[in-house]
Amino acid sequence: MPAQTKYLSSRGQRALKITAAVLGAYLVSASFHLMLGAMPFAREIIVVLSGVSFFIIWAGLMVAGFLVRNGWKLWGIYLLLTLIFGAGTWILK
Amino acid sequence: MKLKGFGNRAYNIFFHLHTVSGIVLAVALFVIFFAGAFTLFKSEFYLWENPAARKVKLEEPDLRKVVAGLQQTLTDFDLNDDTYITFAGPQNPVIGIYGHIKPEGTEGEIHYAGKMNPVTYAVSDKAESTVGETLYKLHYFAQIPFAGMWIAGFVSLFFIFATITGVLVHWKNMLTKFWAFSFRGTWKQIWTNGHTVFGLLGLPYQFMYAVTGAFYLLLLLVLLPAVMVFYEGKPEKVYAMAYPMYGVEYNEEAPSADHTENLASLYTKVRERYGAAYDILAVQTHHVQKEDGAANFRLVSKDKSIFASNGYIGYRLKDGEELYNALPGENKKSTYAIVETIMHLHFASFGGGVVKAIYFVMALFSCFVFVSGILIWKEARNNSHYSDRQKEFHQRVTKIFLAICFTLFPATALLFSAELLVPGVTEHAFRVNTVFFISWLLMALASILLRSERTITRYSLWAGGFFSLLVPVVNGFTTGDWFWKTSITQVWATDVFWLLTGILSYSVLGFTRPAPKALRN
Repeated sequence: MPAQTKYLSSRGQRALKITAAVLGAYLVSASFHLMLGAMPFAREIIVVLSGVSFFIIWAGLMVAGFLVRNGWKLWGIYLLLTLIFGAGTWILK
Repeated sequence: MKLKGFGNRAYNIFFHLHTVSGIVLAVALFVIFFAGAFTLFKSEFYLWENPAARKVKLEEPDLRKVVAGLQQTLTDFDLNDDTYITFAGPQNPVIGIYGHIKPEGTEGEIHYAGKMNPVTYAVSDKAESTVGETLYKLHYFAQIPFAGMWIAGFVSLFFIFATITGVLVHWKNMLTKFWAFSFRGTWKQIWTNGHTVFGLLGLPYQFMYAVTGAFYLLLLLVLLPAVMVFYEGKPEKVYAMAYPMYGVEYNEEAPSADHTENLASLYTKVRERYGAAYDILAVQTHHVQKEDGAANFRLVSKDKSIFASNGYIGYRLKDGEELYNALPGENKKSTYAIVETIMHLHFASFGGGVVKAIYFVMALFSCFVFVSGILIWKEARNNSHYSDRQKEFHQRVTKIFLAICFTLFPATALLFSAELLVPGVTEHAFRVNTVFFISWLLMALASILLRSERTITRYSLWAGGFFSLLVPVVNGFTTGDWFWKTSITQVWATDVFWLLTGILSYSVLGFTRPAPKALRN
């Protein structure tokens, strides 16, 4: 049996969630790694390891995002996280 | 033992995400894993695909002659820009050249990739043979200009997504389904069961490939933010963490000086000092004709017990001063080892033939997971909730997908024969590629016209078996190296592999039955 459609989103919500999954999750993963890499003693190893962890976190957030009911809220969460990690990068650098 | 499941909503969302990502990716992933499986043995079957290389008697490389050969054939070859020379080995008796051509009086540069004969030092950018290269490129869609690598990169990224959602869908039954092979029940049950069991057994392997594939193709997206924020927009600072040669500094204003002699003598020095414990794989040079030129050697340990077996040594050309020395167990930074580990995992270059053979079989199991996924998608929709038109659509999509996937098998076998049968020197690789892609296209189109998935499968097995058996015959007739006569392992092993594949293919065909009359419409 395919998935039951009553649990799935409407068209507009779906578009929001897909864009948040691809772009929003990218921004979160990028800013998160920047924040970790902002600590000078860990920078090298973080930047090299991010070649692996970046994709896992990006894809993981993609999946998790679809559990949020409201696509606007999802974009809000992702942008807020990006902002927090961005600020962390700026402070730690 | 059952794990705690997810709620209905979460389960159905994961299920839908897995279905949609899976059906979109299935064909691309099949092609990537199938072509990739053969690519693992690219250097092993090089001697098979290039009969001229079987007769080459290797000598110690002379870098003076390499430089002279480059200067003679390629007038504007820029020895001051990055030049990467891979040395010939017994399995691949050919020197690889990657460098830059800078036409006099212009600003631009052309990237050059070519091969050099290790005996005559004649350089050419027209490949003598192409099977390995064709399948290697196919496994990241490099034949599609510009877009191919990006498409393959995002396929890898979304493959991580599909792997995660797949695990979440089966979370509850993960432990009980782990080894639950079963051939009972309806076809839908058998496909579902096979999909789950092989998906779970192959999980670490497939996840590793999803991540390392994304690493090789989408690394730019990862490094872009870090390079902009931390490294003043200079990517070479990041590359220097992976390979020490990118950390060597050069002065563009350095005066001219010809270091060709020193380059050749440095090679001899490295071989005398490290030759007993290491193979010298390659040398990268920069500023060979300037005062501050350097040579960066890449070595690989002969000690089979070392996993991260690569080593790097760099010297200034003018006085042989050692710039860095990073050998396994000595001065090797962990960042070098991480990048090297990704490479070993992706290319199966760490455990010899056995590991490669396991990888090959796992790749084919993965292909089974993709195909069974397509079939589940269709069977799950084969009920009264769907209109006849919808069902027809599912049926047609499945047939097209299977036709593309399955006919890659006969097309690959034919590619091997075409390599030895198609004549030509400069046009050879192009013609062989044409035969491969056109035959794949024609066989796929013909398959779509067949009655059912069963006939497509049987047709592909028949054609694949036929072309497989053809491979050793073609090699025998064109080169005289019949597999029972030749002493070159790589040659008879390739022939025997195809012979067994052909026999296996016809045996499987014997077990399948033609579609019952009632199903033929």
